[in-house]
Amino acid sequence: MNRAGAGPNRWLALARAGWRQLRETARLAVGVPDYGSYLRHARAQHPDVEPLSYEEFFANRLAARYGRGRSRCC
Amino acid sequence: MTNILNKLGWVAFALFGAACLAVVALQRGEPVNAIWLVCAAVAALVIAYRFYGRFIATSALGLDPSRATPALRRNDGLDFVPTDRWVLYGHHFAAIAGAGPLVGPVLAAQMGYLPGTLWILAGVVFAGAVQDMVILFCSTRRDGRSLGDMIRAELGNTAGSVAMLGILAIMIILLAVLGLVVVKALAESPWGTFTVAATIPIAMFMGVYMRWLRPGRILEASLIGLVLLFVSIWLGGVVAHDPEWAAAFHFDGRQLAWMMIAYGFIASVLPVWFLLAPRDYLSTFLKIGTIVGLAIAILWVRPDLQMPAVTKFIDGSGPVWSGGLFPFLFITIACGAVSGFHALISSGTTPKMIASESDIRLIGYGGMLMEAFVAIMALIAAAALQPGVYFAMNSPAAVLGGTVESAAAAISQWGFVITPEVLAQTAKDIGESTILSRTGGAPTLAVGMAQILHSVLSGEGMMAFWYHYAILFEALFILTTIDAGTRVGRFMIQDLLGTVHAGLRQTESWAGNLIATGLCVAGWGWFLYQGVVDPLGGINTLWPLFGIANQMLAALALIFACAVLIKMKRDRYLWVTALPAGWLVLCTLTASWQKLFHENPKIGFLANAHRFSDAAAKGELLAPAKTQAAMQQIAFNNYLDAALCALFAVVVLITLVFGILAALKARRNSQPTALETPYVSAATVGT
Repeated sequence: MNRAGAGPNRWLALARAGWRQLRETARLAVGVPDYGSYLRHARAQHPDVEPLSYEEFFANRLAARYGRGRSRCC
Repeated sequence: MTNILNKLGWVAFALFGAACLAVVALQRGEPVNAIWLVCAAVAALVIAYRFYGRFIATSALGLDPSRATPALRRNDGLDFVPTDRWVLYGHHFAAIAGAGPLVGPVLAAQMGYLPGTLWILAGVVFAGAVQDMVILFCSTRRDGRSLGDMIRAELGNTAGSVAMLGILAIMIILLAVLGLVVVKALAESPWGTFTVAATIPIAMFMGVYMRWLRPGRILEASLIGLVLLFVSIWLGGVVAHDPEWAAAFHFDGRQLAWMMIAYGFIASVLPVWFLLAPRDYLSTFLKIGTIVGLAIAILWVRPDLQMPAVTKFIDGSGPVWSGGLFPFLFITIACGAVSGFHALISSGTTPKMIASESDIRLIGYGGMLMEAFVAIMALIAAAALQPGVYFAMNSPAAVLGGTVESAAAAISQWGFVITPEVLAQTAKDIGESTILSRTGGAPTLAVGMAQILHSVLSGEGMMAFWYHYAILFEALFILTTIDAGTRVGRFMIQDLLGTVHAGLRQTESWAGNLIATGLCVAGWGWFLYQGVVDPLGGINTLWPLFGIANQMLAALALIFACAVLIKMKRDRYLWVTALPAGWLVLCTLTASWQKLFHENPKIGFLANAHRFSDAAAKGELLAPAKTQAAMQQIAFNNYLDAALCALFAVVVLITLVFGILAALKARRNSQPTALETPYVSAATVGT
């Protein structure tokens, strides 16, 4: 974190990080992992294959979560 | 020096927790404030996490942070993703939290708040959280394989098939009992029925929005959905006050049961993006939000617990459910203390996202502790009600009679003084025609929550709003469980049918789909309908069956865990899993035995079946049967319940035998024989 920019900037950065974490948690709670991580992974490990677009990624995760039903808790 | 200070701090914290628990347990005469219970619970859970959870992690299981997890080894950015521990904690908790920990403690409150509290705390620390954590550990060490697969691999094919049969049976009974909870909550309630029905078009709109209008925008769609939900609660009130509209949404239990069955069938064959997924989003966010809100509200309001610490019904004569403290308290509170279902979640998606083995304690053990805290809050909400109101809502109509006068008289006779005016006024406050015999736990919890939330945000008519909000909150995730669960059951049945006719296994086959879905819906629909027409109110019959099934599954998982510990040559820590496994085997077998053979027809299925068939043979009619055919039907239903109960007991016994055989075989071998994925160093795997 930029020490020189302490004060409001620091709080803003913290709030941003908190929001990102909250967003990621909420999305994973309904079975959609982080798209950015997927992109980074796909580009680094499989540079020859075009990665899924966000829409395709979303549809893929939806089918994976619910396709065969989901053992949900009581 | 800091070490000593640290230790002193923990000693002080432990003393504080013990003092709170002493207040909760020992105070007699005046009501105890709920804050003592909250503090005692938090202290117990935190200490358990710090010491026992850590002991299991480092000593008993020997978690190894240097070992690459499946998420690292097989990272694909989709199923296998190394995930931040707190983000994954949220995912795991959202998956394990359901209606069970809310309903069980409410029903258990008939024995007072103390027995339930003690079992939730002891049960979660020594059984529930241990199970969740150990199964999560086992699955993480086996590439995230499912419980059924792991049992098959470690205990043999027969044990695996028996476990699968047990899982299918628990699925059927779970869906039936949850369906019954919703039917009981919505019967004769136009407001509740309208609001819950409105979630179907709301979810469909969200589905279309996320698929066609703004693909993948979860936040936007969920916010729109939430706003529409609140509008529907308000609109429900308008509907309930309009005589014509109210009549259109006024249904009795039987009608609602048929609607639920039709709904379950249709919802589980529709494409998932259309109804199932969007409603799951809504229910997940509403659930987490409400749990957090309720925790804040309880701390803010600090209600007194009106229910005595222990009531006279610990002798087993209670009106809410029948049977003595042992084993039935431990069966009634299943999910909040130990839930076999969690073994399925802990061997589902979570192990595929664990970034390091050292996260297993937080997610497995810590996740379950949070669930126990939810159960404690449900218990507080029920115990904060006037006991007279609690018993009016949870006793069968046959005991209370049809009017507030007869109900008040009956309940006052048990020693819980209540006037007819209070019963009538409570119904009026929550915007319902009556509160008598609203069994199933959900309405009771809703009144309790409404009273607490109303103390925070009060106003004209707000009590009724909060009541229907709480009903909606429960019904929403129960309905999601019903269509998701029906799909799970459908695929299990398709797998079974596939052994008869290979074509039926094709998941794309419409014939296979419709036949398997029909069979699954017929299975749970049968028990649901039987519960609705049951003379004792249904919950009385079905909830113990569900509790036995759920504890049976936990026993299965823990027996498996014992065998794995022995196969890993960690025999000296066997007691960690053997202790809860033994206790659960004892509870499920005793409860099954009593449900089968107890001479009291309120407890024993066979005794009740004989009561009806004997009376039928003499040509007599027993309430609620009005014809000889209905008499035969009730007798038959009880025989069926008995058969299911026997099945659960047999599944436990068979697994126990296979577990012991596998353990003995492993003991004869001097090398570890657990079938883990070979060790790969985390340092050598890129992310």
